[in-house]
Amino acid sequence: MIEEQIRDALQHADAGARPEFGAELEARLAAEYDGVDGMADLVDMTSRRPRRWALATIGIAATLAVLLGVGLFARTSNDGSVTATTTVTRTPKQQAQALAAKLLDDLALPPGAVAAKAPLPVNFGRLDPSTTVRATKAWLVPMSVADADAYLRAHSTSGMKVTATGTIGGGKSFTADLHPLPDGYAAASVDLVLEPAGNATHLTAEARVIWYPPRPLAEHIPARDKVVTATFGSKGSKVFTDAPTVNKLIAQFESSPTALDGVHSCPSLSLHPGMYTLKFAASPSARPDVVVTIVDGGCRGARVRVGAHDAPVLYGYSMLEAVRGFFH
Amino acid sequence: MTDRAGREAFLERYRATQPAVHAYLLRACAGERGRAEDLTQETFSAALVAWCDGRNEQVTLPWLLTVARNKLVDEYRKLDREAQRLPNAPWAREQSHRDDPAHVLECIRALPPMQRAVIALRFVDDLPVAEVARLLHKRAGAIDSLQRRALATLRTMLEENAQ
Repeated sequence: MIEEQIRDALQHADAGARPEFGAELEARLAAEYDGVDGMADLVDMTSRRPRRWALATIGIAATLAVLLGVGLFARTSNDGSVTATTTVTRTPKQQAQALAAKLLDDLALPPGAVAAKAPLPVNFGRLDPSTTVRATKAWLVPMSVADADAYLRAHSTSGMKVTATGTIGGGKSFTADLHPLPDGYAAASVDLVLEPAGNATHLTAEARVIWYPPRPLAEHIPARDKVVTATFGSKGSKVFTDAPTVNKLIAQFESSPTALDGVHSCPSLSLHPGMYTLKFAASPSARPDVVVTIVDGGCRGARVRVGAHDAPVLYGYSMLEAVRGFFH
Repeated sequence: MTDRAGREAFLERYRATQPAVHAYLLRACAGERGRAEDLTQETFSAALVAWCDGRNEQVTLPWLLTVARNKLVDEYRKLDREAQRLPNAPWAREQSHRDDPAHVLECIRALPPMQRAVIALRFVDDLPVAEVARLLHKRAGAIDSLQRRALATLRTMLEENAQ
């Protein structure tokens, strides 16, 4: 009986596919193909080496590109067109991995520190592996825990702020966050744990980078939309057609990050708990192209409906701030 | 084949096979979308490398599904190594009170990685125990045991939910 239930559930598990995923991956593969093929031609023309060598060369070039921070960024503007692309693909995960590695490389280590075997990252929280990367390193430092702790705090990396401290048995720990965060990231931090190891200190550093999933191309407001209807429970609806208000709401929608999967703690209290709706349409009588429903409470999630389809949930803080002002 | 024709042929092959590969990975990941998307991308990145290396005849749906399955197994083995380091594995699920397939999937996702792998390979791929054992580098007896434990855990979770 349970076997049947499992089989039946798994058979239907593909119903949760994002419709736009196929097109997103196709665009990424096409760009990757262009990068590979263009470079392969160059190598073939200059040296006539076999294709396999061309691929090896591309691998080296791609690695260099990653190190140089070249990435693929495709963003869709309000009129739906892709406005900026470069040719070397670097997925958000690869960019996050590079940032995590940099956070560890930039640590100013106490004098005499030697590399030690790093433990594997441990998933204490429910970090979503599709939007989180972690990297660890460890060292043996020839000084006491207190001295090593003092040194690390006195030589903190530029841009890193200590946000939490603690003690673990005879050891110490602290967390430093990168501030301000680069666009597209939800968090970038390093946890440092110092534990006594004889007369020395064992230092472990774990960098953790969380990025916002990219917004699907279909989730943008068409350029023809010039009217926004805002609704809040019993307070009814308000229609906005003035360009500054409409454009501000569109900009806030476009810049809202995709909500992260998994469990997050958010303040549940709100002065005006309830649900707001924003409808973006071409005219007051037209069917809305995009409907955004924002919950004022919890993580301020904004459910998005584009035409007849649900799009990924966004964080609606900025939209919420604006729409509250319409009713309170 | 010119480069443009090669590119178009690759993308055509992608379009013809991606839905099946992604659907397989979604089922094998018990509907865990982020993980299934990552593995689908890795599968087609491997396909692109094979294609550009002149092995385009190799890039067929059965080959892609084999690559996808191997990537899935690698993923669960990696998760299992990480889980071994935890005194209490954090595979706790969120409380849910739905009596539908979505709840069964949620319970499957709450299983430890190796048990999830066995469920995927036995119930999605319909592989015999010996083949699952070969893929997961374990003995057949260990696979039986993992499957029994997974079913017992799922039964308990679903019964708890029904109360």
